[in-house]
Amino acid sequence: MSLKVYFKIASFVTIMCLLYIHMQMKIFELSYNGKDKEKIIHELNDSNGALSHQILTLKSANNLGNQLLDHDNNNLQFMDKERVMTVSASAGGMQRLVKPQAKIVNPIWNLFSFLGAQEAKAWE
Amino acid sequence: MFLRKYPLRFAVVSIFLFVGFAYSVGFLIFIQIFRSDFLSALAQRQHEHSIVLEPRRGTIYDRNMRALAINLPVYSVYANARAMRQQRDEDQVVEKLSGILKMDPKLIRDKLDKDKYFVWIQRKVTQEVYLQIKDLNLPGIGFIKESKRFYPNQTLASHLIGFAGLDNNGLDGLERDYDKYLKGQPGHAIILRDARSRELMFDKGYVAPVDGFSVVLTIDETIQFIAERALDKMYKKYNCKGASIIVMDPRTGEILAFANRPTYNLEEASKSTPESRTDRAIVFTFEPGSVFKIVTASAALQERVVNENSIINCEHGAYRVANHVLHDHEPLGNITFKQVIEQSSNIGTTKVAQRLGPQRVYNYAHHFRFGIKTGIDLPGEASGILKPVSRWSKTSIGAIPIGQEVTVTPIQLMGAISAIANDGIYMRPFVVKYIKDAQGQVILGHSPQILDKVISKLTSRRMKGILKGVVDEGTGTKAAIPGIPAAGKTGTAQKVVGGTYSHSHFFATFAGFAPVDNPRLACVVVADDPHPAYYAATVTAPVFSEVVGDALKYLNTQQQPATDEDSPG
Repeated sequence: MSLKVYFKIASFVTIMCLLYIHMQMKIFELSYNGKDKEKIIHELNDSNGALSHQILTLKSANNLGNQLLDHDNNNLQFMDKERVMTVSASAGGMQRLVKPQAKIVNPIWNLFSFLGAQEAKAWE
Repeated sequence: MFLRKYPLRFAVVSIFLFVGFAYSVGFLIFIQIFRSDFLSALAQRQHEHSIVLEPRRGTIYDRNMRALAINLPVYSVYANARAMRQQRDEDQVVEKLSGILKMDPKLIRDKLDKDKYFVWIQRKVTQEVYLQIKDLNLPGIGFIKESKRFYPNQTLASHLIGFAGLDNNGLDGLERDYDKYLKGQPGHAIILRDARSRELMFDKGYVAPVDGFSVVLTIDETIQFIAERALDKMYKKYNCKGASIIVMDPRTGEILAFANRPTYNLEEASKSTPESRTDRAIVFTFEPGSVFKIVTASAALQERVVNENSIINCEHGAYRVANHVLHDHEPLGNITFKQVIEQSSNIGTTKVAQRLGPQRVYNYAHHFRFGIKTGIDLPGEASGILKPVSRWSKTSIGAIPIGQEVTVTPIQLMGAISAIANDGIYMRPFVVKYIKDAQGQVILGHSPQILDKVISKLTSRRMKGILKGVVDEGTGTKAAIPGIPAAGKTGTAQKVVGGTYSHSHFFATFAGFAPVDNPRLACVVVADDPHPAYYAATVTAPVFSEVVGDALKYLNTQQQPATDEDSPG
């Protein structure tokens, strides 16, 4: 084997080894990054747990009932059905109530900008 | 050129290299062949870390899917006692820990004095405590993530729910009875670690934990609160020794509220006493007194021994049965059978029972499931005592029909009054609606179950009329609910103290239902030894009125008419 071929093979093997090591390092780096992210998720999970507990405790019948009925507001009572007024409206109907109806304009007039100034529209 | 010039040096270097190479090869062979197992195991121990993956314990919900018991992640604090002993600032660590954990420094020191690598300092601390200790970055102190059972309602339905211990094993109530469904199955995984013991994201042999199933109860959190609030007021106002309340849908047997006093806080179950944990509603037996007259009256109407208008002579308050003289709480003369029940006359009821005869009284009591368990899906239910006719004495006919010489549980009274409300059909009471897995699939469901038909629909309707009279113009007027027709029966029974009936210790009971025509709720309230007032009419009847009145209002507002959004299309 000539020295030239030997160097070629050696260089190729070395490059391959370096690539392999680099890939391994990348894998471990990603693993560490993943672990860091996992740690953040765990921390968020923990705080979510603590907050869930607080929310559940605050909205529990025991807490709400005692706060509303047994302290300063002893006159609070369950409402009779006869005294409850239910307003029923469809989703569409509610939207019509809330949203003012847009003025219907002929598109041809719009084309020549005869009506109203042009306005930049915000991206929704 | 070098070779020729320095042959000796070359030889020495060659020999040195050869020996070195031979040694290396030899050592490699030794490692690979002879020490392979040992070193592999050592490397495995260093790099692989086996962990148990704790399953999430199932949640207990009320009928509207409001959480009554839930598991949340928490941290436990541990210490490497051996490592800490080598540190100089151990005293400072102990001082800081005792301040945050609110523990006796001596207790912490005792734990650290143990010659161990791992000692618990405190299990399952709050998030705030965990963050405070973590921020201190104390050497030798570590944390292990666990999960802890939380009970957002604290004392609400405590006897029913029960509690789980530190290791998430159910120790009482439904937590214990349904533990096999709730606890789930732990998983495990082998995690790889680097030379610095940092965990890598490579899992080997991962077996996922199976989370526990969730249990959905028939209890309604709001009705439960209404019932407990009223019971609590009664318990404190009348200095009761104990008290129970059950609210049930008589049409299905679904228990909507179930509470006892004394009670305990589920979040601090370790501080509770056995007495406060006693589920009186199913295990406590007592002589019911006049409330048992609903059995005698039902039997008499069903067997056509009397009708509502039959005249009964109540002997002006004194009537001899064998060698025992019966008394009424007030002297009564000739009154109708309806009035006998309305006025709760012992003499009138006994006379009707005498017409029925012991066997028929016993048969009906047995059909109403006195002396046998109702079959509620809770363990430890007592059956009470209903003597067979062969064991009745000559005075028994003057005692059992009016609720003496017989012991019952509050749940048995609930079963009986519900059967009258439900056209004579006895429904099995139950508290667990269904069990579901994490995906919402129902694993086990309980549906309403008919146990018996104790009286006819007609008799039931007639009994409803009589029991409505009790509330409208009899002993139970304080059980009346404004705007809603209610029916029920009071019972004030003397307690047996030292083998004789006491004149100062009583049980006050009210069992009733509403609305009369289409009963939606049945309720039983029992007060043990109330004083100074002790009559059921004063003590327990108002509780029925408050609880059933509020609960019906709540149920009515829950059933809102369908809106456009609810309707299809």
